[in-house]
Amino acid sequence: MEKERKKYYFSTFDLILIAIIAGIGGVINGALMYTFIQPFKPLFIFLGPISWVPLSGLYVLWPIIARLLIRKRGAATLCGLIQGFVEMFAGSRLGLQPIFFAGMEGLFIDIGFELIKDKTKLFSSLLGAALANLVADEIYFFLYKMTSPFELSVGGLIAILSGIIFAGLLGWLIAKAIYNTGIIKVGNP
Amino acid sequence: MRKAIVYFKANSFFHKMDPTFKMIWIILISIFAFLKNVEPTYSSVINQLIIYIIVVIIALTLCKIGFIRYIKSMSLFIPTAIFILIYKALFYPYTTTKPFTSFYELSFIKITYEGLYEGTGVALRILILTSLSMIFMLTTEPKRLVQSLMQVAKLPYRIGYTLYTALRFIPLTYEEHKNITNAHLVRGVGFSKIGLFSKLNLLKSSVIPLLISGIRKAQDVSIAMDSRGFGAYKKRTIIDEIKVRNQDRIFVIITLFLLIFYIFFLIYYKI
Repeated sequence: MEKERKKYYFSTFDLILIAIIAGIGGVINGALMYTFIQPFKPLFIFLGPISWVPLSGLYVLWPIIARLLIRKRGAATLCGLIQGFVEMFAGSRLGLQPIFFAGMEGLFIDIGFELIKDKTKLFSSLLGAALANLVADEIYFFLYKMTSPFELSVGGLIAILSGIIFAGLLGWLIAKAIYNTGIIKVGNP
Repeated sequence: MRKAIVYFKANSFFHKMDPTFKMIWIILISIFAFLKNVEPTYSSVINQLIIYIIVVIIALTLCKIGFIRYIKSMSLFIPTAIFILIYKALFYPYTTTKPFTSFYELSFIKITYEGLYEGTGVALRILILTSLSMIFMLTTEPKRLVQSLMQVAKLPYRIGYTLYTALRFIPLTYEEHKNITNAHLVRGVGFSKIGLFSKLNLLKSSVIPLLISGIRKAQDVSIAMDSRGFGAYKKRTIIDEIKVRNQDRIFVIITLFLLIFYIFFLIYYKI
């Protein structure tokens, strides 16, 4: 049995952990995040239709956590795709689109982690989150035709900052707190 | 979960349709909506409007969603669409260098025909995409979707099982989140503070216990699964076999032909 199991890249524990993180992320993003973000939208009303961008980084948090806890290439992409499915069934207001967006975010997080290889994983998290949020938000701008120079440039810049703060940094802090509890024993993030 | 946008049982064509084929059909219809860019012209609005009307007719007839349920499920998107329409109508001249025709002017506010057309086009596109998503969500049972992805789309069963586990954990996650929030409230940590950073701190303090309890569950479940030989064989046996109906295939093929015809039409008439 042990011999057979080794041929899989992700162990059963990895897959179940991805499923659980994606499940939590999908529920929070799909059903709770919208109501969480709404009260803060008036703060950014001057941004017009892109007033949601400053907090969009929160949507990228979960694949970052999965990547930091599992520490394998592709973990963020798989987590993103599954999270998209859960988000859809948890009542996301965007329906099928989260599968595409969350999958894309996961992919760019994995790319970010491959671009910088630091021991603490902090800079990889920040880069991955910034890249993922930027790409996802820009695709969203094009999809809904928010393509004026203001929306693309200012929106892009805010997306990077939001990704760094609300996904990269927050994700890293959460993963560090989990490692500190000793429940996962594979070094520090 | 929002009750307006979750699966409901009914005996309609779309409820019986194979989820993988349904996904392909939705992608094809989305291509219809995206093939022609939303432009500040009257014809662009008509183009989006025709697609939207077709989608609504399908939702009401082939999906048996019902008008009230449809409006309820769309209640979140209609304000968004209206907001984008108003924004585009008011600020179009500030977002383009192209010439425009004024409809109404008052100080810096310039409502233009082009802005109204573009705003309506974008609003309709939002309604098309969200209606398609609603059709999928309201008519697809999560369990059947996973089975179809494994059997029809040939998704590896380990990945399919991961997806299924994630879906199975939704109610447990809800329950766990509720318990943690109640525990916070008992200890005087609640939703009284409304600042962004206090809310983020609250999010962090509920996410960490949620994840730790999730990791504990993952350890138990993975040990149980490994001890039962999960993943020992490349193929697995299936109890509920999914059979794709010929009607599903024909429906998707007809949509594909219509799409090809539409592409030729756009190229031939250079619209």
